[in-house]
Amino acid sequence: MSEAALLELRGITKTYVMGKDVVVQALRGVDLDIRRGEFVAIMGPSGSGKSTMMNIVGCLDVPDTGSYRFGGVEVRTLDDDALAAIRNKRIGFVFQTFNLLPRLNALENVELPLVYGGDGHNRRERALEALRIVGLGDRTRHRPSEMSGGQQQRVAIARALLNDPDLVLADEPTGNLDSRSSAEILAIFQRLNEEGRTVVMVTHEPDVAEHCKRIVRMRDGVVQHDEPVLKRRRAEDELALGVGATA
Amino acid sequence: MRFGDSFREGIRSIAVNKLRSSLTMLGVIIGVAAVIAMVAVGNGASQQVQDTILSLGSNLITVSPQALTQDQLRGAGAQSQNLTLDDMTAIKDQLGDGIAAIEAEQQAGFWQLVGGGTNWNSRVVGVTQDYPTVRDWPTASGDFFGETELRTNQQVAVIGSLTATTLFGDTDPVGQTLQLRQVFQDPRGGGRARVINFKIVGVLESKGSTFGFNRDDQVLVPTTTAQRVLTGRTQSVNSIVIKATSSDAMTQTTNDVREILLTRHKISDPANADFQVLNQNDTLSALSAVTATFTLLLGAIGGISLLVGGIGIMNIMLVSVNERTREIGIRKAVGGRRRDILSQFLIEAVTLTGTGGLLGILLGWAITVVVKQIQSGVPIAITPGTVAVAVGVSVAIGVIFGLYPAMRAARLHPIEALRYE
Repeated sequence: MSEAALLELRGITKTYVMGKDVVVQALRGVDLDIRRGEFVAIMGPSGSGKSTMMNIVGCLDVPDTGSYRFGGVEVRTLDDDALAAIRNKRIGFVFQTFNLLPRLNALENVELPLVYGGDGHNRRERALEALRIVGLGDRTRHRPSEMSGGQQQRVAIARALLNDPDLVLADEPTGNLDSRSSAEILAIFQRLNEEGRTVVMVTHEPDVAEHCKRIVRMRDGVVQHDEPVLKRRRAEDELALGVGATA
Repeated sequence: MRFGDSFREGIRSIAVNKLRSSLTMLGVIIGVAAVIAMVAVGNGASQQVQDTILSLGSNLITVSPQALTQDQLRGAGAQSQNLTLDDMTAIKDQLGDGIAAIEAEQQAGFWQLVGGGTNWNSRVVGVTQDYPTVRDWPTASGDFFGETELRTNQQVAVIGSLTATTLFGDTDPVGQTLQLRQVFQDPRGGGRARVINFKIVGVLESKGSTFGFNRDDQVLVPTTTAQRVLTGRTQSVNSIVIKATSSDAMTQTTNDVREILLTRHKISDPANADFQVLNQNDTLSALSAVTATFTLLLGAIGGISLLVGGIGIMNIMLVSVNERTREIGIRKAVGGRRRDILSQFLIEAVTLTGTGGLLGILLGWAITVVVKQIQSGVPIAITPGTVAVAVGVSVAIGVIFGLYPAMRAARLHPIEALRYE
């Protein structure tokens, strides 16, 4: 398993000091492997350390101790710029609150990683293509405030896909959406995964997690359960049945 | 991040907060305008002083008598009679082409003038034939008197333009007679007048006033006539004025003149010289030192308002960084490096101050135009140098006062920035 692993976490710990004397041990030794092409849900109650894990996996933060290898590279030894380069080229982020820049229109938001990616070559075409993939080819000039939550999240997914990343990281991507929009977003993730892309999703909703292929449950800063999804749900089918159509 | 992207971002965020941006910019605009206007006024004043001095003739070296000092008793300089026309001739002969022109002057005091049926009082000065060349002051009508008139002490006069219009109105005074009168008390009782007739041969061009003294009101006569007919001081002159060939040649010419006169007057120690040589360049540089201080002072006042404007920029950039913490987090999450964030906020600050600087130049220029309307005499000068400095300084202010907020933005931790509400 380990030789093909895209992500390899060994004994990861992370402690936060909040305020003066409050020390929060968010991760207490996490071991986890994720291979290419997987679709993993990370679940757990709040305070279980799943967000901290997400940040470390996404190279937004570095662990205190332990080893995290991303595509064979030990992340703990990298400097700020190298981490930024990984986030730019190899990881696509999707957040619960979408995190689009309100002043930019959809197309410009999608282009954002290319602004920092150096390769400005046919920027516009690539951004348009990414928007078409998420079904927003006709909404390129709209600003986030002129779009529904589901549409904003699709823009965010298009942005995440722009640099053709090895890993798509989604942090509660359906948390702020109604059930129909949620199903649409999940359908996009499932399609991306079927095309071979690795997707890791943090969620606390069991029915969302059941769309993935594997569920990792965390509790008190360690992995408690790690199991494949036996009865996998397909978002496409649910949409066809009219999920949330009348809601 | 490419410069074009950063610049576009800068423009955009300035455009979003139009009111805030323009108020912030106003600080820089006023600062730059103040510097531009103040320095322009200062430069104008110094230019005016310089023009005034040069209007007396350029590259001038003036020799005047120095009273002899003996046993710490000092004679009055104006009464000294140790400079003569022969001194002038000697300098002229010995330096030849080394000088542009030379003339010698003898003041003949104030006389009552009668001409064209009118009375007037004016200064009478004896000068030699090269006066127009030395003083860069040609005649407007008629001709200046020449060597012949000087040699033969002729009673001819060239008058100033104001004297001409006062006495003769619009008619051309050339060829008319000018009567010089001086009344004195007869010891035996009653007043008696000396009356001397002069023929007017020319009228000088108008030059205007210098330091509140109207130079167009005077009567020029040959030095020899002034000596023999008007003053009775048959030998001496009040000053010898030499025009050097160029500004660079002035120091050399000054030394040459001093040497010649020391030899002629048989004085071995220059400290005991019975004359003094004044170089116009020295006067100019002394005056420009004064006006430069004046300009610096004015510039400093403008500089303070520019500094205040810069603090305003820093303040608003800190607010902006704070407000956009989440945006910074997003940019970092999608791969923005520290230096990308830094340059984005720096360029934004520089765009603010740069635009403010350009508008400030326009405002400063407008102010000088208004000042020119009010104070028409002052030649107010906005130099390209001032504009370049103003633009440079406003850009520098953007960098200096934008740096700290931009560094704060760049140092934000991506997770904390993303969590910021």
